[in-house]
Amino acid sequence: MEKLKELAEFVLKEAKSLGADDADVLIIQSVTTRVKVRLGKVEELKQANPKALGLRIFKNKHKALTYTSDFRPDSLKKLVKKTFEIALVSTPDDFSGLPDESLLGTSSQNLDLYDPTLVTLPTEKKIALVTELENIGLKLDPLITNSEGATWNDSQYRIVIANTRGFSGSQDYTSCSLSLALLAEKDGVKQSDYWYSSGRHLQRLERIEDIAREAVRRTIRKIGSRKPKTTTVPVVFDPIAGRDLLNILASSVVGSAIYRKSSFLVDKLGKSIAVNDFNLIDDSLIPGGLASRSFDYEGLPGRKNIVCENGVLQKYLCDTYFARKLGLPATGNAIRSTHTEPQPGTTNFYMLPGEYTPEEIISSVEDGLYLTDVHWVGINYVTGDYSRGAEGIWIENGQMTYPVQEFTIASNVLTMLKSIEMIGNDLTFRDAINAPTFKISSMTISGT
Amino acid sequence: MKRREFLKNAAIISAGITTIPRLTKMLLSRPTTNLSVADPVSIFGISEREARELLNLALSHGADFADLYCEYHISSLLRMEEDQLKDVSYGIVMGVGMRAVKGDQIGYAYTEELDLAQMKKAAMAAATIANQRPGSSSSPKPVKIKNLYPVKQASIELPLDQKLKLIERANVAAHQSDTKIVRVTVALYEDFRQILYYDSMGKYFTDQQLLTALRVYVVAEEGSNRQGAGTARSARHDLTFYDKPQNQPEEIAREAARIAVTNLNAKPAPSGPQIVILGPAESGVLIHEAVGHGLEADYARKKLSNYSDRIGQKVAAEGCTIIDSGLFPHQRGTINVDDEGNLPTETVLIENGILRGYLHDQISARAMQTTPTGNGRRQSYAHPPQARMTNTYLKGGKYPPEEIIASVKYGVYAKQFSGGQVDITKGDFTFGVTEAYLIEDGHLTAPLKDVTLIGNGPDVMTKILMVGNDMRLSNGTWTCGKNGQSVPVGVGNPTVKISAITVGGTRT
Repeated sequence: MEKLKELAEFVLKEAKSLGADDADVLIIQSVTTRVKVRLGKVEELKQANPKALGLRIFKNKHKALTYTSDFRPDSLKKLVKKTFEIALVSTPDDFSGLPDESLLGTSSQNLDLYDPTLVTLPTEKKIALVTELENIGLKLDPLITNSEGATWNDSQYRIVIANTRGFSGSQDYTSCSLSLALLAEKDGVKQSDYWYSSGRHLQRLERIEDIAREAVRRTIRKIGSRKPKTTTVPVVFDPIAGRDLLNILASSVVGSAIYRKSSFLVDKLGKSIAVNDFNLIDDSLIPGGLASRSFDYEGLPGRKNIVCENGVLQKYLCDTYFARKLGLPATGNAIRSTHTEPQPGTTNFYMLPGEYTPEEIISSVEDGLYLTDVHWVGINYVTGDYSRGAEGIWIENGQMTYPVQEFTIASNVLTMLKSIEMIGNDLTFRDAINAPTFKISSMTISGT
Repeated sequence: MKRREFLKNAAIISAGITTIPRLTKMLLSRPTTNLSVADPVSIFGISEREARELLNLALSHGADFADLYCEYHISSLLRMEEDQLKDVSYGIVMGVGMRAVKGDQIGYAYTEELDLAQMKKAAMAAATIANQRPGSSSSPKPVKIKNLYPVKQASIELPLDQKLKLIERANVAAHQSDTKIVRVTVALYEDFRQILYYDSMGKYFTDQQLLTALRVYVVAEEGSNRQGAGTARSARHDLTFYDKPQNQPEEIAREAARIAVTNLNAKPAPSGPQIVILGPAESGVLIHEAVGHGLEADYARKKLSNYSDRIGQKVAAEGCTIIDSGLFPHQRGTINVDDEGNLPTETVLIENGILRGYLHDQISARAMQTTPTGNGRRQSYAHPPQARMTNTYLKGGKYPPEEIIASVKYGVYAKQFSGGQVDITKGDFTFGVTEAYLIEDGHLTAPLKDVTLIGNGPDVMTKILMVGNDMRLSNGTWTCGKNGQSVPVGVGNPTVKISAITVGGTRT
């Protein structure tokens, strides 16, 4: 993986020599292992060293993107030539192009994204870990009758970004995850759920005993589920369900969606979109963070952006192109793969915690829903209309009672943000997008 | 970390443009470099002897089966927004996947270095799944393939101006269809895969898989009220696919515009159980989610599916026959041969309400002592095959669609869908409806806002009251996700009346 910067320079030089005004190169190379164990047996053992290069060339305001997994010099030279040819078909666009030189750079903060112990971890050890994880889960409760398997994934990767305006960045990462998916069965009805832990460091993953216990708890708590009645009640979002609402906001607060009028947050900059206690942050500099990085995919330094403060929308997250289109500053939020153009996207994106314990929030509900999971279809990003399949536990008189499934919850995201009543103090950074527990005063439940 | 399988209608792309369309002046008959679309054998330069050597290495630790999957994949995208051809991209990705199988255990490794030493390394890595005495491979014999997607010439390397004309036609039509249309995005996607395959039992094939998709996304605006809608057509075909009346760029554009403008007046949908009529073709998403995934034999044989151990039982209403067939010429879910060298088949999953069979890949067929159904599919060389659907549909029945609609006093008519999801274990599925109407006294009336429908597969399938005589396969861009792998699929349905399904509206 040593030669990637030289490879990037080679491609840029080739592009320049053919007359490019500007160009940039993204190279991603990794070493990955996946182990899946089911019922004590290794079901899948997968190893690979994937690599890919993406090239963008700008010439007289024309541009094109090409990519390949073939790093042989002759193939790359052909690719550069091809890029020029297809670029000429594009319409000249005054807004396209690399970022201004003055904006380029790398954060000097130590982000702690690489774990050398992970790189040397033998495969046998990974197999032993997942085997033990599944074994513990299967034995914890007699209601657990089957397993979908326990899975280990790890990856060590390097991202190199270089452009003709002098930016050259390289960052090494590791990541690993453990997950366990179980089945429980009672009275002929099967239920399944899972739990996982992921991070940049092996030692900071949750203990396998804790992952197994949580997977079992989540699976057996679904037993005896009912379909709830159709009604309108308060809904408590647990941190997993809350993450779904933040995912919707992440897709809607980006400059691309705003410019394209494809977001319910159009014309909301500087306006109150949520209750006063609502604060949203995007921070690419959290040490050990799953979406942390020293520079974005166009070479702008990492940073912390306050997206929403005291309910007021402060920023649209922008890459270079949509910042220019909207007349706003780029916020260091360019994301891309080798196969795609940069576009704005979130990094570590989270809602600030509030003052209530989750128990206090639950006990405040007389008759309502504790929401534990939502299905992914059912959001209209243009209008914010929200209608999603859901699962949870019914709350009566402040107490969790029976599990509920096979129903939907519906509202509009803008209405929901204005109806947040209590925000929990239980924010943790277990994913790239994170929320604490929170309560929304009223949503429509469609059940029986 | 979401484990559920999903089906996505990728027509939903992001939008662009306000002003009067003007033709792109650039371009026109600029020749493209011909990056020689060579045959798979010469691309990978693997001789029969080398293939056997690699397979023997994969068997060297005692695996009982091994295969070698080489893929050379070209893809291209042209995207117009604001009347400008903004994105032009082109890529070549290639690699070799080595698999060693011991019983139902899989060792898998792949490399993107096309030299024999790296391929041998991958074969050795895959081999370690087993721990016994080495086996050896049989001499290769070609699989006899019938070409289900014949074309004169694959269009991926055609001059870009021909493709641009299609895009411009869609762009103009979308703008002209209604003054309320304020944003139009049009994208043409093309894929061309060359596959070379050998396995240790002597199977050998090459295939060229093409796929094209044209998508239009529009935003309609009236005051501060906005709605977006996307439509698409896709097939394993060349550009002549877009000559057919129903696939013409203008037709695709007008449909997107019509839905967006209609939805400007959409009313909140009712909530709770309702009589639901599903329109033809696109609503095959229901069959895919409620039935299809649960009948993929990998889940079924591990007793993870709510349809496990239920062959011969009644699992759907009488009159319901559900089929998966990889044989429809040029369909998006069609394959000449699956990714393990097995020929596609027509598999009757449910016959007149009775569960008849599962969809098999090589491993599940062996474990359940039956023959593969040609459903072993993979996203790419980087992925081991799994049991997957091809084109899945409910067979047409006897009722004219008008008669079905006329039979409902109050209910919901669902026409276009964004996608769906299923919990295979319990059978609960959801699907998102993007175009729906209220049915009142046998007539379609008010358009309804986007709404999600939720039900339990085995339960809803017994509530099918009427099956229409208008079965059609969708020409949309349906893409199915399972365990992190995406593959193109086809769905189909006639008009169907369901006695009760929960509608996730806001009106109580």
